[in-house]
Amino acid sequence: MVASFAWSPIATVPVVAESELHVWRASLDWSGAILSRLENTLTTQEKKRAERFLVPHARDRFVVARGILRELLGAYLGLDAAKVMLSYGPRGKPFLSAEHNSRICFSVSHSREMGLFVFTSGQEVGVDIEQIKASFRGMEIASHFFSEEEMAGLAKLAPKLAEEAFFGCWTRKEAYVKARGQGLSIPLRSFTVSFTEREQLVPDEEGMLWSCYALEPAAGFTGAVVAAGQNWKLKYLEWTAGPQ
Amino acid sequence: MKVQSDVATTLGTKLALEEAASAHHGGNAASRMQRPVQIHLLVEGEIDATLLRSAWQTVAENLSVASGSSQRVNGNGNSERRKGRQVPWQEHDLRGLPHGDARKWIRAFLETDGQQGISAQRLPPMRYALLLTGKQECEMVWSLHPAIGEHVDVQQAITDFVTACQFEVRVSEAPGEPLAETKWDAGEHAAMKAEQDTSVPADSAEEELIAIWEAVLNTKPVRADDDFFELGGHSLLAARLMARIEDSLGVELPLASLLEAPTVRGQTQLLRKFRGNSCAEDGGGREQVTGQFPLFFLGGDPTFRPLSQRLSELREFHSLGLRMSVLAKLKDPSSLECIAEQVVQSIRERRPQGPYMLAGWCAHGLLAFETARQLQAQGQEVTQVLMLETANPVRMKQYSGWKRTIARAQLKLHLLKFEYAYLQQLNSTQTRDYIAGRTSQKLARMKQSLRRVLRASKFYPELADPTSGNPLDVLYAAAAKYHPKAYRGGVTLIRSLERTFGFGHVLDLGWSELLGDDLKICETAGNHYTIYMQPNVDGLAHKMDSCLRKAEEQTARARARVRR
Repeated sequence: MVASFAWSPIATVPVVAESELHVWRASLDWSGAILSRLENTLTTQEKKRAERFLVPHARDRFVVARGILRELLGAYLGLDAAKVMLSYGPRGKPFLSAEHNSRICFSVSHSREMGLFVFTSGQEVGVDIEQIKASFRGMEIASHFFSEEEMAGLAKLAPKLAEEAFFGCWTRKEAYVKARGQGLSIPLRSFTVSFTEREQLVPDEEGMLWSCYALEPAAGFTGAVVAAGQNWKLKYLEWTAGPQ
Repeated sequence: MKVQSDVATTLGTKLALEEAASAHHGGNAASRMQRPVQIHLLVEGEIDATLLRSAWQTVAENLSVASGSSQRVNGNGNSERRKGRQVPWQEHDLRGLPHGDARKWIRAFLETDGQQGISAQRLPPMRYALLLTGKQECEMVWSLHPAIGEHVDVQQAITDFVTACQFEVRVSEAPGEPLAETKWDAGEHAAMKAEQDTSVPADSAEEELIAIWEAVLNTKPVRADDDFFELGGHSLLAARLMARIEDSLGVELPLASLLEAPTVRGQTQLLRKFRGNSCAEDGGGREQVTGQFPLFFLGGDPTFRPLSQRLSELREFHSLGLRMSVLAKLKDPSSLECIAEQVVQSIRERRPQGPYMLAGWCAHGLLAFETARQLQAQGQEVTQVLMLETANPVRMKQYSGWKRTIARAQLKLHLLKFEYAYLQQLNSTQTRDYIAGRTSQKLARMKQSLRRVLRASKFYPELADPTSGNPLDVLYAAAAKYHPKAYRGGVTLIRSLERTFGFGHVLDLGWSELLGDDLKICETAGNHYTIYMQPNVDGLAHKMDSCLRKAEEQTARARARVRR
């Protein structure tokens, strides 16, 4: 299983084949030349949004995450990162503007200094990453937002393991609602995921199946990616800053 | 009486402000346009009339200059404008009058302009008065000349006033009946209310939300307009925020609502909407169809979740917990009366008008009793008080000696049974919250305080430090000192079948003498602690519900008799 999480740093962005799911991980702690290179790809609006962050690091991490997303999308589209145009769904989910006439779907998530970026060709996708913190007391959240089955599963675990499993469960659930494109408006209690299975199929209310894969982005982090349909080939890729 | 404004500010003096009435007067056409505005102020700390006066005059000055309408009043702009800056100030001390007389006095004062037929030309542009009605309560009455009234933004003036006071101001439902109710245009009043809801700067829900936000985001200070996500909030923290709002305020906001309303201010409005909706639905439809009145259960401890769940399936149910943040702000947290005042306020925020039903276990039962008494004193109807295993503290103190030793041992045994039942439930999905780590902490705290109860061998031990940080400790300390006063109204005492020796064995727990025929006693399976645990909880919930139903039927019959 560990072998499948060999994140390969590559210089050129590959083409996304129909059945491929590209999962990129990236560190978001960049400063100096790379930070300004990424910042230059942002639109005025994105820069304004960045300036509104009031917490240290949050601003820079937002800039870096958005810059990396633009660079990756630019590479997939064969465009300059600054020329990538994004639109937003009613729930705030960004997607490629229709002008690009591209089938690429993507999703982004970041937690502290780690970011995950996933891309498919033509299928809805959602990703989530969280830092595992034993002191987070996730059970407070679980008791309000997890389904009965999930709570029963967590109850069988020792408290410490349950805290860790909580993050596994949460990331799978959030990746699912992100893939559905409706943000958090799908009640999290209305569906159940298994937090022991690394790969699983989650049916939606119309019986359509969504594939859910657990991710190990880095030590101390957990993540999940969900995409519409089945039999995805996952590629784990690492974004590097490249030539400065 | 006089408090320096700076001192008052540092002491955190607060004003609760309400524009209680804004109505057209009857009478001639001109006076119909007169808009008397009544503002109800509750001051925490002594009232500083000088400060209120200067704050109000600042507003009045701005108004008369801004409206520019004084010229039209008597054709002499300059002199009238000057007058406008020095609107005669009236201050009336009504504290000596009985409550009813004070209200009549205010009513008469409000109606003078309209009723005495003074011609519009001769009315002063505006007048206002400060009426002192209590040590920490006053009313401000403000009436405007029709010509000015048209140009004045009442809401803005009130906001300016609040700012000029330099106090933290929160909106609250003022106790007591509204003035001149029959004269109100209901539609306009509703519109005025809605307007207030959005424009007055701060209220208690907002304060509570800010405290929750600060705890969840681990950052201080959070302002009402700060964006959750810009403060570093993310989805997990959003989930925690909503979980805590549900636990503290009893309102389940959808997670997605944070995207639409990512600020404290937005969320406050959303809370009002959610609460308002439930009030409208329950008040309009449900109450008429089934005759059910809302039950307020005091004691938000998670171990009561099974009971809460069952009761909420049976009727409209509100659970109210005590929070240290609120208790710490009370004038006297060691007084049960004072804690009950806070509960009354919370209840009336949720449901401004009765009839109410109240319930509580052990010391919370005493709190329910005192709360019911205070609600009645405010003219509200309380249909039923349910006390679960609640002892009359005065009578209990008279019991002592060797019986206590046996009672202590028995209570310990009962607590063990409670813990056993509790642990068994940990595996059940119905009580999934118990699995939560935080619950185990709460349980540990509760056990600790229960053990203290046992050590003291009293139902309500007096503690050396009621500010220890645990709201239960504060409540128990207050309960030990409490002297229940006479109360007219239905009270049901629910007793456990497995009782301890000593005072715990006395069926009425010392209430018969005080309550007489109003007291009903009903027994249920389990001991002091296990009555609300599985497998006893279903029986308890149904017994409670049937007591409440009987009380509702009685009320309905009594009302029918009155109508006939």
